[in-house]
Amino acid sequence: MSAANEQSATNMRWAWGLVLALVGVAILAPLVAPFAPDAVDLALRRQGPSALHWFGTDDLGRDVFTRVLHGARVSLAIGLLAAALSVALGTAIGLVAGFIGGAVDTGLMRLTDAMLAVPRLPLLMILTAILQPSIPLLIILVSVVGWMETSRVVRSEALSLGRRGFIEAAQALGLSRTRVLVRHMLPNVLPTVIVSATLAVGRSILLESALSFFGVGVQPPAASWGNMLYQAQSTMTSEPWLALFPGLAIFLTTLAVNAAGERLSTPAVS
Amino acid sequence: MPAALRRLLQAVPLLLLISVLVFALVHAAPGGPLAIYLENPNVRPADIERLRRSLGLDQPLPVQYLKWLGGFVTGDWGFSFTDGRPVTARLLERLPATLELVGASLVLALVAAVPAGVLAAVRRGRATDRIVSAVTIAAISLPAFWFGLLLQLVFAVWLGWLPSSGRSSLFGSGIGDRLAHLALPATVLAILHAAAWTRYLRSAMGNVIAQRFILAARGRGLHERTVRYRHALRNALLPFLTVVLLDAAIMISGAVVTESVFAWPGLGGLFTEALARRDYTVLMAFLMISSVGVIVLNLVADLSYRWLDPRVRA
Amino acid sequence: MRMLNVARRAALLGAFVLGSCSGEGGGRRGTGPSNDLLVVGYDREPDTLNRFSTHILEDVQTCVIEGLVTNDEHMNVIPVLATEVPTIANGGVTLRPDGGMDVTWKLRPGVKWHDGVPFTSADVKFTVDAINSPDYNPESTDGFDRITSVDTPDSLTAIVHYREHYAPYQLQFVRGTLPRHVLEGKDIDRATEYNRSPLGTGPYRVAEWKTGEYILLERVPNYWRGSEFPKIKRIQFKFIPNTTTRVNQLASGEAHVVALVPWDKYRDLKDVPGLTVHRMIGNSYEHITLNQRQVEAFRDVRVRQALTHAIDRELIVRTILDSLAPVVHGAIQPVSWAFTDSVRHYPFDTARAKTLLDETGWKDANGDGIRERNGKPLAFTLLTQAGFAIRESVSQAVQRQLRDVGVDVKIQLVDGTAISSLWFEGKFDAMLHWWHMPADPEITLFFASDRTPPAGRNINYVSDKALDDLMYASDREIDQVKRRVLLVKAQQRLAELAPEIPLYNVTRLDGVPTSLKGFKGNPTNTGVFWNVWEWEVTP
Repeated sequence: MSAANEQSATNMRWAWGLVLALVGVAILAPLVAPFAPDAVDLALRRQGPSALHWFGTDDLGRDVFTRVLHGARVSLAIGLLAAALSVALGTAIGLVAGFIGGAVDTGLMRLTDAMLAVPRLPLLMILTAILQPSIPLLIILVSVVGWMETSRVVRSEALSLGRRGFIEAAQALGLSRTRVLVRHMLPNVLPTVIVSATLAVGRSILLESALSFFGVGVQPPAASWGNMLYQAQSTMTSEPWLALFPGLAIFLTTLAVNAAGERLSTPAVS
Repeated sequence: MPAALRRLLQAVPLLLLISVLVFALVHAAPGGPLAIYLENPNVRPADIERLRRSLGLDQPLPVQYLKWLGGFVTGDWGFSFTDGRPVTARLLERLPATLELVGASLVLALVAAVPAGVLAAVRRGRATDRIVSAVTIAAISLPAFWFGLLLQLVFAVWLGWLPSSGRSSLFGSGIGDRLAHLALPATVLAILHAAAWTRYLRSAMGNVIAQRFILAARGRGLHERTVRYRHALRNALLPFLTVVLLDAAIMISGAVVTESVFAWPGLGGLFTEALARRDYTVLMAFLMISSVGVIVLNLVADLSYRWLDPRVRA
Repeated sequence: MRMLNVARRAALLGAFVLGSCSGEGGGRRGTGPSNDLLVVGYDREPDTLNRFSTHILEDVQTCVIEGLVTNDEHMNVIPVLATEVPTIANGGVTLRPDGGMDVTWKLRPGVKWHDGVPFTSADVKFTVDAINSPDYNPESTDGFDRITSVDTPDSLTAIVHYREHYAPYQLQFVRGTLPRHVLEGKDIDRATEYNRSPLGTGPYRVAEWKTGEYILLERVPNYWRGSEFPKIKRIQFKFIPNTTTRVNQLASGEAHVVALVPWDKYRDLKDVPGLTVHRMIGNSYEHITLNQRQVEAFRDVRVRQALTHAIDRELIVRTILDSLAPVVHGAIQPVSWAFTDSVRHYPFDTARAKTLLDETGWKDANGDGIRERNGKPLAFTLLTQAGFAIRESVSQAVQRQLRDVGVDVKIQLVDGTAISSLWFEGKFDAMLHWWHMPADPEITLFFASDRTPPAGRNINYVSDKALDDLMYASDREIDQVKRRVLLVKAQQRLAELAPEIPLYNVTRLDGVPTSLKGFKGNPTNTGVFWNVWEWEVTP
């Protein structure tokens, strides 16, 4: 058991390192990147990876490595912030509903139902058609349409936990509702929340790319991994590197976030 | 089932709220159903005005809403602004294709996700778990459009094994032809959902396995297999089921991207087309139907708790 | 080349851990094109097959319903159900002293609707009456509303009376006619049966319309051109809105014909065995509209000229468009009889652009790389339609090139419907787009000072008396030689004013089987199926 724990601790360190490195890259992109992200040079378009252009150049001759670095700022901002926002919102609502029950539960769940009932991508497509997409707006919109699943799952866990002895016991001991909620319920639903959150990171990044697919994502010439992938769709056969590197970036991020969440989601066995 | 009935009744104000919201949103989107005519140089302003009046778009929004609501409640969902046919007919003819795609994807995804999730949970931290994790993370990192186009390129264009899009061949009757067309879009939808489900199930089961009553069951000397599948899986299924049912509801209306990539003649394609043309009547009907679908499936999920979780039932 | 492809495929597959199915490649799945079945990959589903109700360019309808005339591959008007195109010279057109005009259409004898009922002048009259009736809402009544009445002295003669001189009269019935014996007394807007399976006189009729999937056409047994026509038995139009998917279908052989292949897909298709990509200069042009009403700087002709000089159109065409479309210098395209190239050109010349901008007082005083005047930077937002890879690329290239002369451009992508309403309301700075140009070279609609929205499409908000006079005079001139003289002058005036930046011709690329004989293409929105009756697949 202890060997496994050690190994998972190593993994964790590695995963958190990767997350931090990605965030660092995003923050430092303008300093680290070898070129300007919008340095169009039509004479140099669609060059394969080389010593000068590590990840090759795109349809407009821009350096793909630079754009992946700059894309990290947008994609991570959307991925991490929107995921954090939506999961926090969902957890709060789910916990309160499941714990308090009664009219509050009914009200919150109907709200969740109403939000869930309207299909997410169509709703986002309509919203972005009404409001001009900017990065902060995309973060807010993606979290506004993304908290409901978390809230339902958390609520059903809370409901299930609420019927178990130890929380009733805690209440019987005269602990305050808030205290029970925060100290006893929250740790118990945490594994589920963590999975929700790690899934939400990838999902938020992908929602942005789906919006790019319909042309309402991050506006050019700004780069996001999602719109880079979208732009690469027509050159999948001829210039695979255009799709490969942003795709790998999304994969690495999702992987790191999931691995980092792994340890937190492993319940403590007493 | 009085509880179910009560919940259905509660859904009425909910739907009313949704309808106001959605009506406002749909009409707030820039450009109306007539914008499409502006592209044609032969259509003059007088033509546009004439069409606007004939479609009732010249009336104030609240009046339009009330008219729509009256019609919707009485089953008169109006005519599509696109082709002048009844909205109900347009939705109904698209529904079978969507149900077929969602059904196939659900089955495929469950078949993949349940064993993978259980296995990963049981063998947490070991090689099996790692492989499952790597594959699921890769799958949730892929945008649907991109994954779909890749499969299309490989299996239709390069290998020529499967049709690249559509639902049936012209003269290729029979189940084989239908399955061949279904294969790629169902796989794309299934993999994207299966990956998320696997991760949920793995976590939920891991959670349950660690719980005391499982330890207690082990302590009572129950066989490990019995513990794992009878107790752990059963208890983990509760949150898992929530996710699956929600996803199923979302898939019905949300396979927008997959249907677009594979030219699948379902509701998602209808939505994309209707949004592009601001076909208000079709958009409203689509969004309301989706909402009703989610509400019904939610109800089913809630009722299943009682059935599945002995503690809630008690 | 072959090796390279294989290597690329292998790299791609390996990279995405999708197994080892690289390699032998090119398994073409569909049955090849034959005289039994031709499969067309179509970018959308038609809304209705009633040609007067649809807004969609109408390839399916072209196979079923015939006009009195059509546009051929050189954009000439040629007779179909008429025996000749009426002109002043052949006595078909008389100008009345009251300012009106009479056009006499002689119909081809022996033509029957698909149900066997003879096609007559009564159908022509019914069509005009139906379109002008308040009970029917056609997409457009343009031209028809200038008709006062139609006389039918005999079953094969229809005399159309116009209340004024109307130069584009030849194309009045290019969409065909409505069958009187089917639609008389019906609510045409809701005549679902006709709208889904219209009665025509053409070589094909609708056999099946599977919603969301395809329309299948089958040949009619006794086509009026002779029972040996059409040669191809069935044509299937498959609806495939996603461009990449449509091109994939063409590459895999599941579709045989795809019209209007985007330029950036040409590379994927040029080496597909058995496929020919037919290239033809189109009747439209991509351009950047400069909204003078919204952006004060655009009101100075020197600024507009400077912007035109600053954009390296040749480079854009050579790279992003792979030299598939030529640079153009005006609104009337080389396919038109009215076209002239003797207009002012604006070659790529950044020095000239900078000088012009300096002259107008737009200078970079604060050294930030952007010019300003009276404290306001020279900046605007370039609007373009989302979902067009080429436009996204072109707009970013333009952005870069204008930045090099000190002009700050922001790009905004908007969906098609939103963009239509934005330009209609004049709420944009500049826009990268193209119009569907009518086959007739009437450009008043786009540049006359009184044709700003909602009365027209002058969204540059250009206003020039000399230009107005030339254009309006040309619209009233029935004689083509004299009309051309006016239109040449109008084009020259237009080039001086530079109200918009013409970029390149919207050159058509149509993917067709190499074995298809008789395919001629068409630069207008009549579409490539105008001569489908003579198409034939020869192995």
